[in-house]
Amino acid sequence: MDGYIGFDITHIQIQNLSNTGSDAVVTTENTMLPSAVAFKVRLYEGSNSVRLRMQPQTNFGFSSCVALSPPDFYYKSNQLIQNIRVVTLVDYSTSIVANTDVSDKFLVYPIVPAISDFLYVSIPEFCTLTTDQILMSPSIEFHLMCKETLSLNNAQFRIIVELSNGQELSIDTALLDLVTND
Amino acid sequence: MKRLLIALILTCIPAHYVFSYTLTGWFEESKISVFGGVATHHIEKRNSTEDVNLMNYLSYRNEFYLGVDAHVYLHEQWQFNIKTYLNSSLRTDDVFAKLIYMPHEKIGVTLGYASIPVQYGLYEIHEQPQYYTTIPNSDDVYDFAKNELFLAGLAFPFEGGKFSGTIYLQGGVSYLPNDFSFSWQKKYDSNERRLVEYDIPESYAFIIQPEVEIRWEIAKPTTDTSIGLQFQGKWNYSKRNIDYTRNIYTWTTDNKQTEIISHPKQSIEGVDWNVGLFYIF
Repeated sequence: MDGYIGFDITHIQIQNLSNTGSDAVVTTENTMLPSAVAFKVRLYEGSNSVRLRMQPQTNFGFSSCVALSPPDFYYKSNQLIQNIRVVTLVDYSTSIVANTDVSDKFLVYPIVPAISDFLYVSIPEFCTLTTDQILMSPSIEFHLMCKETLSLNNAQFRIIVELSNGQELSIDTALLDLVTND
Repeated sequence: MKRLLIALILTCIPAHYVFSYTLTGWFEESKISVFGGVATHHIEKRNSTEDVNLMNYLSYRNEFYLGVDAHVYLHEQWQFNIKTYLNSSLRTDDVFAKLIYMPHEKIGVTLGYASIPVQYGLYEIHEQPQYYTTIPNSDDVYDFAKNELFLAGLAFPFEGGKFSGTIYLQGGVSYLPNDFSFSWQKKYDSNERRLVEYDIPESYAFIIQPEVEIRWEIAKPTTDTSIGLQFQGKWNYSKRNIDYTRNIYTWTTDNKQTEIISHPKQSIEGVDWNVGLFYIF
């Protein structure tokens, strides 16, 4: 065993975040504040066989009997994240129309790996920081946060993750209603 | 350091007896006293501008204390005094030491050191409207910094009947060490996050500190010993400001805004008095 279990990134999942309070929390509602448009993205291997890939430990014919704590598993993605693109599917503003790349309007808060104390990192920086990271779970998770206050009533985005094996994972957010607290 | 000081005080009594036999002439007399008192500090508050004025958030412990004081009259004209307070947290953070040289019966020269705990109200400093504020490692928030005083001055002993005492006129430098504090802030109803740092350099201020000690001898059990009541009081005054550098990182660590903040000086006035019992031997 190399000290970690490799896994393939084959799937992408997205959830809406409510970021009105002190921390962003997952929400099932498709309503957000225009100043707090945020998503949770998870990249993972679709099959449930990641842990089965652990190699058995050699015991040289002896039947050992030991008491152990539950083992800590460490994981490493077999693919690197080359880029993350965000494309707006509806008009982002009066000047930025649908199907425009708005990646520069978004920042990342890494969850797994937890490589930032509090502040966000840019998308290119996130891609660099995730390289060769040993993970505590067989997935890469992050929050994608819009740093602008949107001026229109709706928003919808397509998230495209480019991997080092040439694969692109893509997922669309729900159509969001943007409402203010007033 | 605290253990050392307590040990020094507790050593004064046996040391006197031990060394009085082996180093005859070095220890002429010793005095130990226990007392209770109150120390208060008043810091002038000023309406600050949009920039936080750290002087408004600096605070000393203003409370009742119990104390112990050891005063050793060394060979010839030298005296040494060390004193500590036990505060309501059962800590001996306040420490005072003084070396006195008496070239003349009526006047002496002193060198003094004091360490007094001070605290910044960090939650109030960092708290900002429109932001949720978190101070990481908040256990450290209530760690007291040490305001150290380096003093020099004159001592004027007096005596009349059963009363005796000393007036000290001292002045010197009040030192506040450097400090660093940061908070994480997340804006209400927004994705905006920021990291706010306060980098406080060490600072010095001039201080004056007159002091008086009055003793009233009640009884004289033997020719070499006496017991009585004691009053100690002191007042100090200084003017200082606390400049600092504030860094605000908004969204990412790349987006840094640095400002050097300075405010006019504000006064600090302290009164400290105690009464207790002394034993001279």
